[in-house]
Amino acid sequence: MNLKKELRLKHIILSLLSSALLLSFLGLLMQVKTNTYKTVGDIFLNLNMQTATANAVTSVVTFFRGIDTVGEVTVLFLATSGVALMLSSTQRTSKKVVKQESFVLHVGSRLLMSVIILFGVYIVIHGHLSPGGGFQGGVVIATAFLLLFLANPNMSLSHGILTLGESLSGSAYVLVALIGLFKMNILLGNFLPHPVGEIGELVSGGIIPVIYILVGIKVGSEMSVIVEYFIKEDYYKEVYDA
Amino acid sequence: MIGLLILFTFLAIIVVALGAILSKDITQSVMLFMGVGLGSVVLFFIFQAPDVALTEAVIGTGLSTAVFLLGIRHTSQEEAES
Amino acid sequence: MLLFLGYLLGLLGTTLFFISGIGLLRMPDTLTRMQAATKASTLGSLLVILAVACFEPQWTFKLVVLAVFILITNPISSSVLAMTTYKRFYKNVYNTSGADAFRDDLKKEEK
Repeated sequence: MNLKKELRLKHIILSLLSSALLLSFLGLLMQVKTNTYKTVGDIFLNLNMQTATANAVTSVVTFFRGIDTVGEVTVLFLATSGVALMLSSTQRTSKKVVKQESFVLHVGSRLLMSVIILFGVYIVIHGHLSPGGGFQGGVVIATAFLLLFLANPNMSLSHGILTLGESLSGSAYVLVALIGLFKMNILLGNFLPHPVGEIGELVSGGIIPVIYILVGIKVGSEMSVIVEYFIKEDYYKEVYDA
Repeated sequence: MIGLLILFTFLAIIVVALGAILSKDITQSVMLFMGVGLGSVVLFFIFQAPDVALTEAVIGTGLSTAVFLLGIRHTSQEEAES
Repeated sequence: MLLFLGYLLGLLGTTLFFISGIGLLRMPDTLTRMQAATKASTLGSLLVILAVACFEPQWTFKLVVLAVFILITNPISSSVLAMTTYKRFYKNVYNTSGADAFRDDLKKEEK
């Protein structure tokens, strides 16, 4: 009884706090417009003209703050290793127990998977032209594998190819960065030709699309492995219990 | 006009988040949490950050919900066993 | 003229969404609720997409892709949901209409 009262009090306080927050922001929200402050964003926008990418965010993420991206990719790699270490400890049996999936699901998931992977590849390749890029496209590709796993539990990815793609793209990323260091004296220097006149074309921006494609391969394979471990562990457990 | 849209989205996010906190069913609360992600996608898009909006749409509403649901399936099985 | 058609289609689509929402709240059991939620909202989203195509004719190709995506995903998910519901709750309920193809299929599978 006491707990119930406490909870109710908490809810009232919570809603009052959120409404107060809303009211305090109301004045600000009603006059939203594009202000022209002189901030770090403007400096990056001016610098963006040198890199010749249509999407300014991409040039910041992969070029001006390229070291951060290396760090993010490393964090993702560590997370994947942790998931693999934690969830692969259960003994794995080879293919066992087939649940009959329905025909509609069987055909539809495969149909959709190809469309989703195409969309992911589009996002990765057009990362320097339109919103999106390696991270987003990679996760979209992983979502396609999630769909496939949910539709068909007997499905299994070949870990050899995924590991190969992941490690190759990771090393290629470092290699690109080091070539930039040797040629331009900057880590991640843009050593490929990137004329400003070609801005907005598919092949433009020097190494920026190359880096984003590598990041896309890496993120896609890592996320697929994470999804597979989450689903497969569950599945094998069911098999063991039965 | 755009301010009203922003206000409405904020209100919707607050309502959905409160629902996610207050609901008794954990699956329902994960679904409502997905609604919070959807609202923030709209907000990011209005505030001219389409890159972040895309990331939120894919990760916040897609993968994280799936991982949450798989985790719930996991833990509820273990609870039922013990 | 095209603009007027767009407004009309948009109104129709949103009305269908509204009806589907009412159905979702008012229907008594899972299968009927699902019927309201999927069928009406599929048609509603298609009509809204048509309305947008009337407003902005240069977006037609992208909108067609969107419509095809909705036409694939919505029926598949509703079909899978219905099958699962049937298998879990309606397998042993007596059917008054006489014809039940899915139950016959399930019996064949069991044999």
